[in-house]
This record gives sequence, C-alpha cells and structure tokens, in this order.
Amino acid sequence: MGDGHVVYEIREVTKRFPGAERPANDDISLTIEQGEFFGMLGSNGAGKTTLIKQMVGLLRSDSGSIRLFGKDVLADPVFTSMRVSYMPQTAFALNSLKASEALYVTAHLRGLGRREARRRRDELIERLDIGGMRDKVVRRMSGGERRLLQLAVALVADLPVLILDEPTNELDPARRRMVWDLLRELNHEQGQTIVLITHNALEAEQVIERVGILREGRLVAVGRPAELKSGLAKTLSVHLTLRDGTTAELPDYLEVQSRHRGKVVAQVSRTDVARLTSDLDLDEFLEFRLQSKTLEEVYFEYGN
Amino acid sequence: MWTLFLVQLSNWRWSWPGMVVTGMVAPVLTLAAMGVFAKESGGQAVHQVFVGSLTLALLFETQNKVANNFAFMKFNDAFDFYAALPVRPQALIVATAGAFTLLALPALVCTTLFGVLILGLKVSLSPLVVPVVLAVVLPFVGIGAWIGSRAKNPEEAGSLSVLCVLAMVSLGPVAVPAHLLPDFMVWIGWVNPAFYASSLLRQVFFGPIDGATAGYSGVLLGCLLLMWVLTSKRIAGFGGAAGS
Repeated sequence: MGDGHVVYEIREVTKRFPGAERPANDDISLTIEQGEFFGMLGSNGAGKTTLIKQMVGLLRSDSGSIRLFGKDVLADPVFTSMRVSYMPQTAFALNSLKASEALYVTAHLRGLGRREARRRRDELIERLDIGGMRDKVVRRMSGGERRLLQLAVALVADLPVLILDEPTNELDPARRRMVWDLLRELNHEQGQTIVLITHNALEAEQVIERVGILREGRLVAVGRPAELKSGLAKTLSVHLTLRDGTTAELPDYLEVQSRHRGKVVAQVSRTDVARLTSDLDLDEFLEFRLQSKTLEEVYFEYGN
Repeated sequence: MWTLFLVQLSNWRWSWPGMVVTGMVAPVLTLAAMGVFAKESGGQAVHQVFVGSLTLALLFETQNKVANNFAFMKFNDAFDFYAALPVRPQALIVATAGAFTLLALPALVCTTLFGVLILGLKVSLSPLVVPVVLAVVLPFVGIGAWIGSRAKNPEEAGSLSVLCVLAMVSLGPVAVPAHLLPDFMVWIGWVNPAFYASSLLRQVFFGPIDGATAGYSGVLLGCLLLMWVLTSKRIAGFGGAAGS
C-alpha cells in the first residue's frame, strides 16, 4: 500500500474532444500515493487512456488540475518526464531500430550515460528474456514481442512512477505471468508507484492494491478490490458440472444465470450457502465450486 | 540531439528502396527524356533540365520522405513517445532535417553524375555548393514536416506530398527554362520554393554567383522560417498538450 506521500493528485479533471457527444473524462478526482499499485479498469472508450495521457502531460485538461509530487504536470514537462515512465497502448515509435538499439537509445534520451545505458539494456534483455529478438528490427516483430520491448523501454530509466497502458496485451500466458511478477517485484522491492490500465481484471487482481473503474468518462468506483467486492458480496457464484446423462434438481433459491451442456452457473445468497451444501447431493456433480466475487465481476457490475 | 539524429538516420533501413526509385531512377529518367528535347533548345534548356531533375530528386528525398516520416510518427503515437521523454520538439525537427539531408545525398550525387554523363555537361562547381544545397534542402524538409504533421493519416500525407512535389516541379521555370513557358507559369514560379531551389542549383553548377544568389537564398530562408514556426506550433507538446 502507499506510504502516505501523494504522487498524483487529480482534482475535478474534465476533458472533452471536439465533436464528441460526451466528455472523455468527466469531473474525475483521484489521489495516488507513493508506492501504490493502482489499476484502472473500464470498457473501451471509458476514458482510461485519455486520463493517463493527461497524467503524463500529453493532453491538456479542459478543467481541473493534475499535480505530480505537488507540481502541475504541464507546468514543467521536464520535471514530469524525469519522474514518470510511460508505456503507451499503441504502436511503437522506434520502428526502424533493433530491439537493443531502441533500449539503448531510450536510456540515452532519458539521460543515462553510455556505460549505464548499455548496462540497463543488457539487464532488461535478460530480465524479460528477450535476447532472441535483440537484433530484430522493431517493425518486423510480432505484436507480443513489440509489447515486451515497449515495456522494457518504459523500464529502462528506473523512474519512481510507471504508467502502463495495457502492458500484457498480446502476450502469451507465460510472458503475461512474467510481466506480472516483474511489476510486483518493482512495486514491492523497489517501491515504484505503478499505474496501469488493463482489461485482464482476473490477472490484475493478483497484484493491484487499489482500483479505479471508469464508465463513460466518469470514475464510478475507486477502492481496494476487496472493498469493492464486499459491496457486491451479498451473493456468491456457484459453478456446477453435471455428470453425463444426469439431470440434477436444483433448489429454487438458486438463481440460475446460465445452463449449457451440463454446466450451470448460478448465484446464491450468502445466507443460503449452508443449506445449499446440504440440499445438493454433491456426488451428482463432476464439479461443485463456490466462489466469491472476482474483480472481473466488480468491473462488470460498475463498468457496464 | 545526436541520438535523435541517429534514430532518424536509421530510417535508411526502410527508405533505401524508395530512394533508388524516386531519388535516382525517376530523376535520371526525367533528365534523359527531357534532355533529348532540351538539346534542341540550347544549352540553357539543358542546364535547366539538369537542375530541375536535381530539384526533383531532392524534393522526393527530403520533402516527401519527411512528410511520410512525420505522418507515420503522428499516427503511431511517436510524438507521444518523445513527449514523454525529456526531449524538445524542436530537437526532433532539427535531427530529422539533418538525417534526411544526409539520406538525400546519394540521390543528389547519383543524379548529378548521370546528368553530367547523359547530357554531356561541363560543370564548374562553386565552393558555395554545400551552403546552397543546405539552403535548398532545409525548406523542403520544413514543407514535408508541415504536411506530415497536418495530414489526417499517413496515406493522405503520402498523396499530398507527391502531389506537392509534382506541382512544385511543374509550376514555374524549375525544369523548363522561363523563355519556353507561358507568362503565367513564370509568374507562378515566383511563389514556388522549387523555382528558387533550381535557380540556386543552376548558379552553383554553372554560374554565375551574383546578387540573385543571395536573394534566392533569402527567400528560401524565409520559407524555412515559416515552416519552422508552423511545424513547431503543430507539434508543440508533441501529443497535443499545448493545443488540445
């Protein structure tokens, strides 16, 4: 959890693009503390990327203010760029370079000397296991390779704040796990403040400490995942898989959400859990799973 | 600045096939084709075809390439990438100008050599050739940066830039001497930077260097400053922090 020192103080930020029906960000207020791992969830077009672009100083808000370590992010762009490392969502800028060159060049542009830039380049290539694409030109890389390189480029300068826009998109499961482990390590061991946008709420739940959910430009929920889940925790999810050829009778207090090829997903009130386990003959089922709300379900609840 | 220059120079990895076609083959074919007719119209016409072809090569290699490069950067969020680093937008423009000027040199040398061989020219190269080439190339880079930073997408930038190159070579006494053009075309030439560029190139290759050289350089410098102001405004804050 954060250490009480405020990194970002966002106050009543509104941003509207010309010709748009509604603001991309509408009166958003939020505080992010030093050392926090903050996740932003929301459907496409909810305004997440617009908000973090303002936090990095790439877009000017129509109203409100964004302060980084107490300073307006736009007042001194160099102050912001020397403290915040940003990994954008879209395609990569250094497309004509090889992976190793892109890392070295970015380190150099961030002010590292030649020897230090080379050291960081080699360290990240090893840490992210991207040695195989070291001499590959960026524009010839696959989406996943490019994504990893983008992340490496964002990490090259070791700045106190990391802002990542969908860092695990297009990555295979093994590499996604490696990235989450790395981010957890940077946050826990090096104390870096991390703000990230992701659509992968289930994986993000393992690492993020606080989450903000945006819907149609508004911040509709913010808090620790457990807090947000507890607000919706009047029911639990029940996942049942019937044995072939059987048709189990389900109690009427079970609210069935879907039933397909022997798989049943239902909701049960917390107060009915005890009698559910006694009312059902568990031998009739291949699988019986009771699950509290996940962050993904919280996201569905608030974000849609 | 040096690092940005090297980054922009790395564009040779994708741009060299285009350079061979538009920076070497097209100008050489142009001068070969037009040279046949120009020889019948006298030495001045041959000189004009030669410098017109050089202008065409430089337009393709600087203005067109920079327009494409800036449009590509704009639509790949490269401006956002650089804006998130401690890098000034003006440094990127200067680095781009330097890199694409250097990348245009093979096309310039190739077109010059083939021009001299094909047209049988005797050139008396002025020592002012380096500053004159810079005076010619930098406004072209500026126009390209402006087109690329304004275009709605890379396709539009490419189309507009090629149209602009062709219009600039065609409108006014750029590849055809003034006495062979109707008056209105000659008048249009006075607002065409390519006319001043080809005139300067003619002076450094064939002489004479005179007061007009300074005047033409001044016009191109004015064009460069105008493009600098327009493009710097356009990409101030790169991703739009200044504007939007």
